[in-house]
Amino acid sequence: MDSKAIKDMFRTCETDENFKKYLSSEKKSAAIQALKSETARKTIVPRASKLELIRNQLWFMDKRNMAFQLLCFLLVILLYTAFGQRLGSNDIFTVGAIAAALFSIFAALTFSRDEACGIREVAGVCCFNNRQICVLQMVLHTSINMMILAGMILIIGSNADRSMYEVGIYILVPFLVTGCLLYAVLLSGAGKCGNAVLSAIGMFMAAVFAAMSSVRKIYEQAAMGVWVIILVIGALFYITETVLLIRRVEKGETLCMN
Amino acid sequence: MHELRISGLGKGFKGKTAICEIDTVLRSGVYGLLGENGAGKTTLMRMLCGLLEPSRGQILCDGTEISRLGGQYRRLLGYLPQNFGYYPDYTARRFLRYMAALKALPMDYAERRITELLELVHLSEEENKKLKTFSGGMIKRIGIAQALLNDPEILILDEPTSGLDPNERVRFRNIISSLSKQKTIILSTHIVSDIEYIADEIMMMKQGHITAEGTVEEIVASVGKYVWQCLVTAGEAESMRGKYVIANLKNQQENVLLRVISTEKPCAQAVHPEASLEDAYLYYLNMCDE
Repeated sequence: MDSKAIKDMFRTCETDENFKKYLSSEKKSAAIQALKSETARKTIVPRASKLELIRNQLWFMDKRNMAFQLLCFLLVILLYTAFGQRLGSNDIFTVGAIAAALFSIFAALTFSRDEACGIREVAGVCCFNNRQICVLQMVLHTSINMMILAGMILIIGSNADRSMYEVGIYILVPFLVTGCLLYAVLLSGAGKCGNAVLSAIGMFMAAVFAAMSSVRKIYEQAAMGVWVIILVIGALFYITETVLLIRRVEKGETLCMN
Repeated sequence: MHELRISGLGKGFKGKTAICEIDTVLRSGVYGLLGENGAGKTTLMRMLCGLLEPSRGQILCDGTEISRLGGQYRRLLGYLPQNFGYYPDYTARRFLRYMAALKALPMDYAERRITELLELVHLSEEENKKLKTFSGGMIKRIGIAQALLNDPEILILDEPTSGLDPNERVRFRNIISSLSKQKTIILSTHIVSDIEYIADEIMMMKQGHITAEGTVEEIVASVGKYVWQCLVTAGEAESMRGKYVIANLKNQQENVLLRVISTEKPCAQAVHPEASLEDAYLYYLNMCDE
C-alpha cells in the first residue's frame, strides 16, 4: 500500500460515521495520556551547536603545541624585522625552512598522542566517530599551520629578493616533506613509540633543510623546476597519507587497544 | 526503550573466529555477559558499539542497522571499554569536559552533569587532580562517569569491575541498580558475583557462541542436576580432581568437602546441593559443547 492510499484510508475513517462508533473515547484518552507520560518521562539531552563543537575542539587542542608554534612564528618575525636586511640571500630561507619543518610536527604529535593514550576506543563511540574527530583535528591543524606559514612567507618575501610565489615554494617544501615522513612513521605503526621519536624526526629534518640551505645553488632560478616537482609530489603524498591516516582510525581492528 | 536485535552475527580476525553466530534480542534491563577470557565478549561489545564491523550478520536498533544510524545510534550509547584510554595530564574534570565535548553536550549542561557524576562515583574531591595520579579503581570510576555523561539509553560496560576492590564493586553494583529500568545495560565480566544480584538476564559465552541465555533462576535451574556435593577422603578428593570439574574444595578435619560439576554422580554419597550461578558458569564453561 503506498502513502497516498494509507492517507486516503485515514481520511475515510475520520469522516465515516460507522467507523466512529467503534472508536472508544476512553481508550483514546488512555493512549494519549500514556504518550504524554512517556514523553514527560524521557530525558531530553541537549545538543551542542556546530560552532560549539569546533570551539570545543580548539579549546582541547594541546596548547603547548600551539604555544610553541606561535613562539617560533614570533621569533621568525623578530629575526626578520631586526636582522632581515643583514641576512645573506640563503640565510633568509634557512630560518624559514627550519621553522616550516618544525611546524609539521604538531599535527603528527596530536595524532600520536591519541594513539598512545588509547583514547580512540572510547572517543569513537561518542556523537562523532573517530573519523570525524580526526578530520576536524587535521583541518584545524592545517588551517593554523597555513595561516602561520602564510605569515612567514609574507615576512620572508618582504626581506628576500624573490617573488612571493618562489618564497612560498621554498617554505612549503620543508613543511610537506617533513610532514610526509612523519605521517609515514605514523602509518607504519612506529609512531606509537611516542612524541619523542616524532619530535626527533622533525628536528632531524629541520637540521637537514638547514644544511641544504647553505648550498647557494639550490635557491637559484635554475633549480626552481626541481622545487616545484618536489612540492607537487610532496603535496600528493601528504594528502594521500592524511587520507590513509583517517581511514586507519576508522578501522576498529587497529584502534582497539588489544 | 530500545530494542537491539542481533542476527547471525559473526566476526573473524585473520583466520581466527572471534564470534561464530549469535542471535539474540536485547531490550530494557540489565544483561550480564559471562565468559572466560577469549570467549568473545569484548568483540561482541565492540560490535554493539559500532567500533568493529561484523564479518557477517547484523545488529539492528529498533529495526535499523546501527551502521546506517551512525551518530544517531552513538548518541544513545554510553561505553566503558575494558582498557579505558585517557589523557594522563588532564584533570578529572577536564577529561570529563573533553568527553562531554565529544558527545556534543552544551557546556552549561555538561558542567552540571559532570558535577552530578563526580558526586555519584565519589570523586568530587579529586576533580582537579591529574588522572595520572589516580589509582586503577579511580580511573574505572572516571570511566563509568564518562559513560554516563549523555544519560545513555544503551549502556555497554566491558569488565567494569576489573581492578576494583570489594567496596568499589558494591558501589558500582549500586550505581547500576539505581539507573532507570528503561535503559538497556549490557555488562561483561568473568566474575559471577558482580552480576548475580543485578542482572535481569545472563548470557554465557564460550568460544564465540552464546551457550546459555536466560534469567539467573533459569540458568541455575538448568544445571541443578549437574551440581554435586560430597564428603570424601583426601585421596579420593585427589583422584576426583583429575576426573571432574571441582567448584569448591574445603578441608574438614580428615575429610574433604567437594562441590563437583558433573553429568554423572561422582561418588555414592554425593547429593545435590542448592546450585548457584557460579556452578552454572563452570558447567557451561567446562562441560557444555556449543
